[in-house]
Amino acid sequence: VNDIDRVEAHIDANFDRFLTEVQDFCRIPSIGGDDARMAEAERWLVDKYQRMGMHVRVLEVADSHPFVLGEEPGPPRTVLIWNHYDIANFTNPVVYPENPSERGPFSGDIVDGKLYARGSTDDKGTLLARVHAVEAWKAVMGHSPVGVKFLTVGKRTVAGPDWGHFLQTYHPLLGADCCIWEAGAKDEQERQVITLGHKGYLYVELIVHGTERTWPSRYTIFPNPAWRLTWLLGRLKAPDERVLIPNFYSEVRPLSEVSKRAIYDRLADDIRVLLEEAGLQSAVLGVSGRAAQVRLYTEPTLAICGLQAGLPGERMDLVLPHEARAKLEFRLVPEQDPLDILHALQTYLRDIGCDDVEVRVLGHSAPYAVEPDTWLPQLVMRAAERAYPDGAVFAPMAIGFGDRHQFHHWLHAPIVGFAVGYAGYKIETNEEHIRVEDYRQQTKWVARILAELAHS
Amino acid sequence: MRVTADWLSSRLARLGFATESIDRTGSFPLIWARRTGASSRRIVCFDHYEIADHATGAPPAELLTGLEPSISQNRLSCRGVADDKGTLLARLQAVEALLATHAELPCEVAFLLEGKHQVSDPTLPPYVERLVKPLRPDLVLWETGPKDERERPTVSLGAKGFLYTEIVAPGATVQLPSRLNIFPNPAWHLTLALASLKDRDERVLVDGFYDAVRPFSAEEERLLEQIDTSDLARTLEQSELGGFVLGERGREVVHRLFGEPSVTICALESGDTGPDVRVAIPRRARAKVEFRLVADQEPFDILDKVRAHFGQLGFEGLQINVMGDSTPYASPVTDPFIHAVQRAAVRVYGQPMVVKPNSTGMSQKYLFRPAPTAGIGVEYWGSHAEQPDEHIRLEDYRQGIKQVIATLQEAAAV
Repeated sequence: VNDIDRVEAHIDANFDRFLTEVQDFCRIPSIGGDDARMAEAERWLVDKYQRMGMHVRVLEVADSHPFVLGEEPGPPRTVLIWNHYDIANFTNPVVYPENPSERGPFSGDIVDGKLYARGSTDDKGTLLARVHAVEAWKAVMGHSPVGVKFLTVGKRTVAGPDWGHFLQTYHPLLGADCCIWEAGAKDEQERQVITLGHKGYLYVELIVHGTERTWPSRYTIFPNPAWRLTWLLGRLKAPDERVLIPNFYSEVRPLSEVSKRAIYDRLADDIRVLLEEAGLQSAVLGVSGRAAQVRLYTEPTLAICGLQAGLPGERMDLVLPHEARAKLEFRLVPEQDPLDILHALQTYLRDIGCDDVEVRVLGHSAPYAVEPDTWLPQLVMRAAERAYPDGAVFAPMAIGFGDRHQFHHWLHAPIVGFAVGYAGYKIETNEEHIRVEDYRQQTKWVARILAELAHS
Repeated sequence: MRVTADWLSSRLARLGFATESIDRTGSFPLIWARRTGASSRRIVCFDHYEIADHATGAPPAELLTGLEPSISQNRLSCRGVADDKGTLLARLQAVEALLATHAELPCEVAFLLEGKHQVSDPTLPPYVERLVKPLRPDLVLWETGPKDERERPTVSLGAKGFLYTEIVAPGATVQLPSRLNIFPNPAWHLTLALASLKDRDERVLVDGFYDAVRPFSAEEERLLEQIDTSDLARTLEQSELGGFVLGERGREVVHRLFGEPSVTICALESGDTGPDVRVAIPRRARAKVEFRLVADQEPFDILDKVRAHFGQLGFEGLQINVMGDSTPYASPVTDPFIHAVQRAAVRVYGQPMVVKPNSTGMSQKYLFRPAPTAGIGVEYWGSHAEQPDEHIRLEDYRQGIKQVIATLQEAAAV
């Protein structure tokens, strides 16, 4: 019996206990920004890492909850494992049901092989599968096959702290040969997805000013900032979805042939499921199949996330708004740089006579992607071919944004990502869940990855 | 509102008016009071007893300030005094003064006093039809007629109309993160639809929008030349705005305000309106859009045309809900009873009135067609109606009462 088989046997033998730990951790409602609950989750983690015999540091980070760094020494290589212990609360705020018979957001209950809790997939289950893989190796062999650094972050906002500043301070503690990130669930065909990067974003608020106060709407002689905003937005994007800002697309890295083959030939078409869940008839521009995947994974896009002018509500207010605001999100792909895009936007506004429009930057991060034919993606895929009978696929980029580019910039280590999820995991709802068999598979997969890293 | 209605009813009854206070569903009591006079001429005074707050843009808390009346420096300050309680009371007290000194009123006078829930009260039309129409009034005295910056009395005759709509672009039934960029974004849908309604030169792009617009007559044009807009020019100077919407000057300002139909976005609301970053596709996008109309545009004809416009351009799935409407009215400018109002003003103010053939504000003058409607009042250009420092000047009030007395006498003599 070789080592990996013994490790897998250990995982099976201890599986119920592992799940109980996942339940415990998921039941802590550690919503980013809630200091008391985040501190509770932090203590839980510190305790867990210490009981495993890891060296633990708690890193104080400005504008953030503390980060927990758990270190397991082990030559010949070191892997940095990135996760977060806060619950994402940025798209759908947590809602506690009024009716106590309905499932709450942090039940942690296991029903029909599914463990329910907000944060179970994103990111507590994903984190603990990795922790349990290391634990299994230590139980069986007395040590991990490679050095491991668990960097477990507690974000207070969607963007997190100033990563550049964090890394400048702490990068000497984080040195590693490679990095494993979150993001990447099983697809519709039950194939495990390995994400090779993420999009970037630039979130800005445009503010058009008008009269100093709100006037009655009968004063049709005054300029109306809501109209100016409307026209301005109409010049940012064409009805065919193409962004009209000059140079917006100039730095987009074309997909390599390897990427195209590795990715699109194998990605499932899960657009229909998404549409059905959203109660929508069709996707934008009617795209489907390959075209939808291309748009989802490779196109930089521009979304209006918010509009505001005049008085909200149901009243018939006869007013001329004194200002109008739009929140815009540019979602970026390699090698678009958010600050270059900001500059292009400002230049364009000036060129179309809108230089009086205020632009406030509310957040940004750069995109990152590793090529699929390089060593780390290939190693992780090799391990997946053993762990997943239904196979695994590369996704060129997680469609969300992330912070991999900053870590890559400071650590010079390639990064791949994956998570314990599947197509029906209902992220960021009270129905968010993981399937316990997915958890078992992923724990075993991570155990294999650690072994492969030792031998590569 | 009930207390105010009762106060007015008993006041009118004491003056010998046959008074009814009519309860209505969806609005506050309507007061209808009549008293015959020496001549067969009939004048209807139309006023409202609620304090207007639909065009302030102020938060509700601010609307509750300035409600305590006070007199100082020859001014009476109180929310509602300029719009419209001062003007209403001046009419009551004109009648009171006439009855104190004469056996009867010079002509028949009726009061229709409105307490409305919202601008352009949808419950009013049947009452005007039933109560006012059979009377065949010779003249309707309307509210609003401030002295202008050159201290000249003004009267406004017609009124713009409007169609107030809520335009909604629906989206997904669940909140979707913005990373799912393959989903239609209702905020874009709405924005592009709105952008198609009007050009940057302020021209409304809806097919047929201007078809029914009746140009001003030579007489109306002559009257427009008298209108003073220096208050707006000063506001412009004091602001950081580069100019009026298209850089208008002089007559162009008057034409845009009084003669041009328009479309205004009064509100936009979609998705993330807080201070944070919320990366989601909005569930829906909503705009409140006001079409302000001139004679002879009809609000529901304009609605059909707007629907056709969106249909033609392929903006499907937009919901257009009508929140309010009012038909524009070009009240006759050469009517003998309008001339009676002007003669009365010369007697009281010692100078001719500025006659505005149209008014820019919203009112339901069209309900009283074909009677000429004359908007006169006790306020002045600086009264700040609908603001916390709303006030009237005491001398204007005294003159306002006399203007009503003289108007009734001049009308009786027509």
